[in-house]
Amino acid sequence: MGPDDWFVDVTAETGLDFVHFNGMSGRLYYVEVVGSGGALFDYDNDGDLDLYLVQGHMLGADVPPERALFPWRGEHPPGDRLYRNDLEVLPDGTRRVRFVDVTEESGIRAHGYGMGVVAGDVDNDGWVDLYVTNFGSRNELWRNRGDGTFEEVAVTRGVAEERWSVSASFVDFDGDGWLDLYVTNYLDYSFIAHKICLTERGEPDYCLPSAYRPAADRLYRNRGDGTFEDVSERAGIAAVVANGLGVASADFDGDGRVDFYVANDLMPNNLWLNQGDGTFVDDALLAGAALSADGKAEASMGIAVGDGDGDGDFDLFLTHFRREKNTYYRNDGGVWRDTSVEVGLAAPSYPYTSFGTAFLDFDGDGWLDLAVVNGAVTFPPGTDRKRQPFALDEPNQLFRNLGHGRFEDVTALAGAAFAVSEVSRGLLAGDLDNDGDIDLVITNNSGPARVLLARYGEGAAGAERAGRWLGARLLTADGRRDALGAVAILEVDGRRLVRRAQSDGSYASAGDPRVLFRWPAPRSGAPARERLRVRWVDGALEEFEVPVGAYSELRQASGRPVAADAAGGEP
Amino acid sequence: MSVPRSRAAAVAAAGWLWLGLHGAASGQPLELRPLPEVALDGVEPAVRTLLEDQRREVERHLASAGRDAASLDERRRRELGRAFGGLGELYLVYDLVEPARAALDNAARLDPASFRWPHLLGTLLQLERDFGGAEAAFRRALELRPEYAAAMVRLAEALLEQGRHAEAGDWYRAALDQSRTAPGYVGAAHYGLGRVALARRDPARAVTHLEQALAAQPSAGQARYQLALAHRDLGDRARARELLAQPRGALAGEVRFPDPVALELQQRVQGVGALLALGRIALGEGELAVAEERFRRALAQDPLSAAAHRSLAGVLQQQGREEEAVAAYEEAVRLEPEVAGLRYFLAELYVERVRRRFAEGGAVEGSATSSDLERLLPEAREAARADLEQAAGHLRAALDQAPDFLAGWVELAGASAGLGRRNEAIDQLGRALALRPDATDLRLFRARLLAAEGRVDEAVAEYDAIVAGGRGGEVAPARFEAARVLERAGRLEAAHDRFAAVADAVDLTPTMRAAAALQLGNLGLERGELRAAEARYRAALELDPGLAEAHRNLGTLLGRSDRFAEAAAELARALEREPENHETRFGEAMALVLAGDYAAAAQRLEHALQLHPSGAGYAHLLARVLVAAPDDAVRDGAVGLDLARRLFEALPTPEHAETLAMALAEVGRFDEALQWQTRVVQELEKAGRADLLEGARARLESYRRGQPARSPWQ
Repeated sequence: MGPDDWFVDVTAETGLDFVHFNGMSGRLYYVEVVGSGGALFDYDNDGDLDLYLVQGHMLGADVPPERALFPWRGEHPPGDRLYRNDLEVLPDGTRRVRFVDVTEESGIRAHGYGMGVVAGDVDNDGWVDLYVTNFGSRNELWRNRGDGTFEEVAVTRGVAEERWSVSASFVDFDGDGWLDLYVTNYLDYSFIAHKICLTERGEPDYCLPSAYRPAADRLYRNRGDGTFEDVSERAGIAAVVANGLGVASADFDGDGRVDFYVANDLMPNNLWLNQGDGTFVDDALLAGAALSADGKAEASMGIAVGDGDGDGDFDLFLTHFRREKNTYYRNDGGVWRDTSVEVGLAAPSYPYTSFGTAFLDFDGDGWLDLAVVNGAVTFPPGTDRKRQPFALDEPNQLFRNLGHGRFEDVTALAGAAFAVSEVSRGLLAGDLDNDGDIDLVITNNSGPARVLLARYGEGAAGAERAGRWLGARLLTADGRRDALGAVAILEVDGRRLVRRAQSDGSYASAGDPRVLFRWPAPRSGAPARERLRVRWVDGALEEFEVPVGAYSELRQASGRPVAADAAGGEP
Repeated sequence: MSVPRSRAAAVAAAGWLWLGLHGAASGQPLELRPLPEVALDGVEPAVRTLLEDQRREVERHLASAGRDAASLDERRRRELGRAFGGLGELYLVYDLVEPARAALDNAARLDPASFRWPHLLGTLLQLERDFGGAEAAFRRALELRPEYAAAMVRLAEALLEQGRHAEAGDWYRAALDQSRTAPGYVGAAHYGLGRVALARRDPARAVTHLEQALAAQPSAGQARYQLALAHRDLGDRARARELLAQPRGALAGEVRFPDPVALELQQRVQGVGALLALGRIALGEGELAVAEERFRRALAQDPLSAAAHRSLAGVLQQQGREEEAVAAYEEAVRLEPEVAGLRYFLAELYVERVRRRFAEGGAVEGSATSSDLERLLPEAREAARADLEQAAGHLRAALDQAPDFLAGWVELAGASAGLGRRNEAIDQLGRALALRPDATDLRLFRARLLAAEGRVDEAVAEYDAIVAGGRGGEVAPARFEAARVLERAGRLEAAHDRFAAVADAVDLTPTMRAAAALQLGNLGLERGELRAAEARYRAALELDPGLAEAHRNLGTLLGRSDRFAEAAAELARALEREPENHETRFGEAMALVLAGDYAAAAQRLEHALQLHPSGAGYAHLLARVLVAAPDDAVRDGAVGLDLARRLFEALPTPEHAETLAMALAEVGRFDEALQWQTRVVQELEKAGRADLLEGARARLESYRRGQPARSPWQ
């Protein structure tokens, strides 16, 4: 770790001791390379981000634990873990993130073979709940009781999906004030249907997803009381059966309604456009966001949604398999173009299989950069399996936005934390120490979860971090729930920065639901001219006065209403 | 599990060769790349032998060169180059990228006049997405063989992937020029030019090229997709949508072009794994015949490879060649009987074949178990039974090996139910439910089987368990069906309460509530509680106006209440929804008769006889209307008499005899009418039909007075 590292691995210092167990025994069960993710969310409403990490277990009904190639070393049987962030701010301003394992007292006993998790307050009681996706057992909804404990209510709330689910998205798609739920389902896979594929050289290897049947996704509508009904058929979602891995919600076509984008593995992706009557239409092909520029379905896994080119609408970044590029779909007013080559993101991505990803402005220039975590799913050719039974590790990557959505690979500059090679899956982006920059939590298959704190510009080479920032938690009118899907627009020094309140996207993970703006310090003597507006999920637009250099809570209907026309074409 | 950042570098460091040769022309040392060691432990023997033999060939040449490489003459350098090239080809085929790269690079250096090595090196680098390296290699290849169009297309692709659109366009055009003599490149060249135009925001030009690409290769979904985007960019979204409206997977078809060098390489592939991998690639591209050929080649190399049999079965299944697919799976199972998954896939295939027989075999709807063989036509029935027995056998064997396999129990229960072994199916579903107690769909299936077996209490208990679970799409049918089961078992009170609960449940669908209200109406009608029954029927129709049975039964109820005109109207509504229902059609006509609307009744009955000429009931009622209707305009004694006579001759019943008597009276032949009616009265007296005697005697008296009947029906 060097003094000028842009990200610093502080896992040990935070007390985080989570190690993922994939339960592999050499039988090459497909599921063992797919998980797992995690969530950043403030479960105790103390203003900092806590951490939930998803765990696996031994795989195969007849496989004893001692057959595990990487034995489980934990005290308890493997299960998901909840870590409370006891953030300390010392008198000198130093911030110290400490994660305390509170799983036992929380009552969470999630022992399914976990894949992913998404966070959201399903019953509008002011406490963020968790939806955990699993393989081999039904998904779980852990309701936050508000006293530090959780109860599992998936069955009674109607969201006990039994298919193999991976990612999920909480968002109020019908505008009734209650969070609905989209769940991506992957494959119709079971141990009995398990296949071992052979490489070109006749070596056993994991199969490609095409070896199994895909499973249809599920859309649940919140009935307005925290219980859900399955509206997949009615909404039109069930008409497409594809192997979904990632999902993100946003108003992709600018019609004021929340849509869904689904990343499918080696099948065309879906852009489910909300018709406003409870139904959705998949317009990805015509929109140009289903296939790559050469017309091929790519092995899409993770999704990042953000205004990468600064034109006010949401672009898409998709992570893919080795020998495929990661794909940047630029949104040109509802028409999408695969511009991966011209924006500089194609070439660096070919050697890797990428999963979790996030837009973040790590260097504070107001342009959204990209982080990507990697890890293969099949063995590299020529691997000595005896010496390396799980040789799927790959280094992660960081891309700097040079402005207007052109990127350069700056991984080599990011420091030792980005030189580590592991089998990464989830990328959770959020401001863990509330200091105005985005930190990262990386989950690794059969490896430790890692905490990377952002330190750009804070090392010896930069006396003090340049630039300014402001953050905001966007809340519903009663102040109880994150207004997921709301969009904040900051006008500063002639630029318009757009950020979205979200807990979905990436891969099998949930990130910080707050919005964070960073921008360069004004030229000496120039007056600060910041204006923050929020477009809420129901389309209302309001303007807020917010302090710079701090997080604020902004409730819907507490700002100054702004007519949409007067806003000058806000997104 | 951290490892050094660059595995390739680490592997290269373990290489065994740095050979300094002197360039023949320049006199400069010619450095060869070290060949990385390759771990071949897990590689299948045939492939391993190939690789090791070829590597030994390289070593042999190197040994003969010794360290005094500078003295190698041109011929021996070329031979060494070809040995490296042969090894590079094998590494390329078996996806050993780094060794292939080193070997082909060395081949190109040692045998610089050969086009083959830079072309294959370019192909390898393009596969690895090293487009800069691929570009250099293809440029070198084209220097050596300027007319080789496949290298032009590949070079253009490498340039396009680097965003160098103009240069890419030049090379696509060069390939197009070549296509005058080699037409196989037209599609690929136009496709590339279309992509270049799209990238340069020139959709009109893109349309021109992509249409030509599609004309050259109509199955190239890739070109179709790009063409759609070009039309979209031109603003013609309708045309774009039209192009995209393709069957699932149709857009995946790739634009192809011949590359004889690469093709020749594929033909050299040995080893089951390689052939299966190549077959899977072909499968992914939708090339089923190519995939089959590769799987068969794999089988030829190792007839005992279960994986090859299984792969072949899969591709045969995809081609609809069911019998061959079953045979291939059977062989795979024979080779690996302990692999439960294989048995399961085979069982699925058998079950799928049964489903197809149902789809094609004239099955009728309505069975509680969807695969009840009795619903099949006889010729399909036995074949389906045999398939289900096979499926059940394999599933049992699979479950012996993997007793916790939920889907296996479910599939086995389906097969058992299909074979009519419902009690076995019930037990098997019990096993499945023990593994997944909250699987309400399975519980519903089990409840239905229990109901069909008459195990009422157990069925109701299963239904109640579903309802108690309180979730899923099975709750509503469970509530309804539990009431149905009780009703059919004669437990009407219990059934009534349950139907009432369903009918009043606002959280259930209108269709379900209407069905429950209908059943409540039926129970009321059965009990003679006409007012309550009418209210239930009307409630049902309010919820589901299309419910024919509710219209029909309400019509019947209204008829029983002597509200014949209303009954006729209701039955007419029912008939709109179920025009094939004779009961409804007859009921409407009868209601019209009883309501006194004889003209309408006659018209309906004549229409009914046109539709169903052998309908004796329609003919009988029509005969009565024609001979006894009070309406002079309706009566037609001659026609009525003819109809009545034919009816009696066909079926000599007292009712037909009485109709004949009515007809004879109508045409003034009262003596004959008296004779026939007297016989009718005698028959009715003998039969003890007091309900009909009063009317029959009244008509007898009427004929004695010379008066015909004027009431067709009582």
